[in-house]
Amino acid sequence: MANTSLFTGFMLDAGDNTALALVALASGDIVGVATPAGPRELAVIEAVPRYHKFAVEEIAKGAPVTKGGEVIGVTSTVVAKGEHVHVHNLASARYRAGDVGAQVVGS
Amino acid sequence: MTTAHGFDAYRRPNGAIGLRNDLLILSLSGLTSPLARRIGRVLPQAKVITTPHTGGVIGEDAALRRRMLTGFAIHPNVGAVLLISCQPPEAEAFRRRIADSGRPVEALVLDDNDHDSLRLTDVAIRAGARLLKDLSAMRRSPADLSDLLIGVECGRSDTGSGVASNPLVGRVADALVAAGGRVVAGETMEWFGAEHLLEKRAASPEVAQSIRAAVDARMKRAEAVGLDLIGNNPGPVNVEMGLSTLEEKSLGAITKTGTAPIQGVVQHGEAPPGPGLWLMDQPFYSPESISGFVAAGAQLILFTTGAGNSYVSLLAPTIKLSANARACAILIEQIDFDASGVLTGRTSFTDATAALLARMRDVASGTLTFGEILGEGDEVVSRLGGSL
Repeated sequence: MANTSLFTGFMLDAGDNTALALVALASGDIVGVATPAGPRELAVIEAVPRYHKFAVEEIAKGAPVTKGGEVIGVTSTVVAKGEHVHVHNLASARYRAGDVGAQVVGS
Repeated sequence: MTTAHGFDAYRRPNGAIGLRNDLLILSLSGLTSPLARRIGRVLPQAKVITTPHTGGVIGEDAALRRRMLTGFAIHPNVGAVLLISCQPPEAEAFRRRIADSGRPVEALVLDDNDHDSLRLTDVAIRAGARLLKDLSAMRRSPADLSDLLIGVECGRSDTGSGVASNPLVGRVADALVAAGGRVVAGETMEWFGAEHLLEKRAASPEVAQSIRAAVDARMKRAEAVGLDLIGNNPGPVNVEMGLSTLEEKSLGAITKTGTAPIQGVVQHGEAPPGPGLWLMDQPFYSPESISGFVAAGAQLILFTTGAGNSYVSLLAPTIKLSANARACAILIEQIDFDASGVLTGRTSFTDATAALLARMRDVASGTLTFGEILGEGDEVVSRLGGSL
């Protein structure tokens, strides 16, 4: 399944808990994901638009979301493996909307 | 002949190397902008730079204007200058500065031509034609990566920019620094959300403080006019393209700086004083940002985009990259380097880095980018405040 010309997912860091959809994914799609540690096969449990993220493992509520080896935010709810990860369940870890200015919440 | 590690460029009297050998028609006065453009229409091989602001520009604004116009006038890719002005003292000061750099320069001032723009046009065309002839007799000689200052820029990014194109540019930045060259990144507002990572790479605590101070100063200016930078970031276009948080966007942007230590923070348009990676405190909008790099002497720009962006530098050959396969397939006459293979696993980062470095050497030696061919370039002088 993991053919080098048919990768439809991408992880910049093998330790990330999210992957990037390279094409629009439909619920139930099996995704061949290219990672620096070699290919992985993952399933999505809902539709994921092209270039959006999906969880590669279950993520607890309020836990860090990682991409490229860095924290890009925290979940606002439990996120299931294979679920679309975006503004509806992912919030900034450093700032709150409505904060005018660099009010860092934690570091 | 391009060697494995080098390329061929024009060696200037001060030792700097130019990747192009342009005749620059530079209007110092806002009053002579249309005149300069008219001369440029008769000499289409020349590059024309004008600025609308001259009289009433004061304080730091005046220093910035002088710094940027000087940077353009003595840019390494510029072989000769036709200076157009209606302010004799300023024209003479610039003429002397350009002559001191070893470049042929002719200063044409309205006052010396009976204030007649048509007469000046005639004199300028003839002078420009002679300069172009002399420039065409110059030849390239071997140069290498240590002779380069490159600017790295992103514009109209998508999520592929953050995970493929920008990291790829970052690897090239690392290679350039390792070879003894200089790299400059700017767009200060893009550091916001990832500044903790930049501060960790600062070469000294003072540099880390400069990075923090640069971001804080812009944040204060935004606050002062009631801008909600956090609520508005990422914007609707970014969200549609999959960027969920401010830090995700910024982390994707700063990957184009690579991993080298940050030697310091320079002002907009100020030349980095030594080898290595530098940050420039400057506006984020591409025309202003890129002109800042060019005024500092950047001979080449690496410019990543997502869905597409036609803009390039006028003076510095700009290699436009995208990892968006759809954009690369459609924008054949805009995207100079297709990085989409890195995303799909078809190409390793290592192979793509080597390919991009090879493309840079080709472009350095004279292979044109689409932006140059199609005339999509400009240089602009930024403003800090209003004129009197």
